Amino acid sequence: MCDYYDKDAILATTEACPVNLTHGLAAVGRYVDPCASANDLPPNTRVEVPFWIVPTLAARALANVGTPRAVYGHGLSADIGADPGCVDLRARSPYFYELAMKVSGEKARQDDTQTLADDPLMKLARLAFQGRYRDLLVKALSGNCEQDKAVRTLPSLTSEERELFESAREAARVYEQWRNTEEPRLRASRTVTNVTRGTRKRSRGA
Amino acid sequence: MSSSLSSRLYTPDEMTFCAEDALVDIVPRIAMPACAFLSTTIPPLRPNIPCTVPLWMALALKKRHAARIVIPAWLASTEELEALLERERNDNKVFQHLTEHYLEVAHLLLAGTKGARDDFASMTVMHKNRDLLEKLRLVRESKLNQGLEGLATAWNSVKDEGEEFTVPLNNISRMELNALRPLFQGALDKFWKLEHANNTAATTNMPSATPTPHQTEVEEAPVRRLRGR
Repeated sequence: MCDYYDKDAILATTEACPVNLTHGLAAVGRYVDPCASANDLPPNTRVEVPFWIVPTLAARALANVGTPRAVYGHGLSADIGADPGCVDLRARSPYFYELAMKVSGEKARQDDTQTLADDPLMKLARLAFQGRYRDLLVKALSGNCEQDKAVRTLPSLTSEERELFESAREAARVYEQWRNTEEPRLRASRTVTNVTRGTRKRSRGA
Repeated sequence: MSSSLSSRLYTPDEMTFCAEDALVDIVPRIAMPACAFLSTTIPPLRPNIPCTVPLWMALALKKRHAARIVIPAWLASTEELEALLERERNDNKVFQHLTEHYLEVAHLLLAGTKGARDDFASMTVMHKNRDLLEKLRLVRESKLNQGLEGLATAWNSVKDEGEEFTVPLNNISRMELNALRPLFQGALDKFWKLEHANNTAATTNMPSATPTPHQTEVEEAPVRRLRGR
């Protein structure tokens, strides 16, 4: 439950995830899938639903969880094997890693397996992050001299990577700025200064 | 919470503020009785008798021309800095020992207006030592970055072959660590999360007490009709 307050974890649950309905759904067909011909979905229909409803469906054995092909299909593993840094993961899903973890967690519960480490989805996510981490690091830390490089990198990063990247750059920037200034920018607050000068009343009245 | 990566960070100015508690030697030019503060006690000052005070006190006295700061040994002697730089360059595994606030203290002492530049042996020594310190900082920084780059491959090898890999972080000063903190912490968090996903993801959104109902139970349960739109 450590990601209960994590906004990435929450937003990741809005991503679409395909499920296979075991019992069908009555009266919500057009809502779930606007192209459906009937309003009752028969059993064994494959529909895409937001991920947040998947645990509820799966827990009641109403649906089998599938892998989001739009995100993790289409030769992604080949691309990642070739050069993870060049794959535009953001176009696939802004919450690539979070969603992979959630989907494979759900699958593991469905199949009643304990280990996720061997799940191909997790392997893919891990491989992608390992490959991209190095790029991220180099570009974030050398960002000061190569602005355009950083800007070019940014669009292909997922939200999670982007946050890491920006916080690293921010830290490096602040550090750099500190080294180049002589005067400390930490100053006493106005209230304190006014008290020591004995002008607190006057400034408050003004 | 990964959303607060950058808010976990201290600003360099805050770090400098903390570093002002470091002790330095001064040679006072004035006499002053001992002062007791909440956290520290300043010993009585007597002209030309060296004593040890916190850096903030030393800088305040220096500003009033009431004392001369004795530059700490690691910053004052060119030979020592050169030797340190040499050792730092030759040894790729470990970092050389320096005081944990070395960057901040040097920054304060070498500052143009409020610093203690004139307390060095000479201006030449001051400039030389400053350059040496800058070189030292760069060597340490590149060493740190190498360690960080190795992290991804290391993570693999630890898992597959049980090999041990360490990113050397001993003797890292506070400022260096603070600049790296968001990246280092965030990346390690992510690696860990991807590795141990079954512990985190599988418990999300679920009342963990309810076991997965069996297929048969569901079939026996009455089907709840949802109202049509």
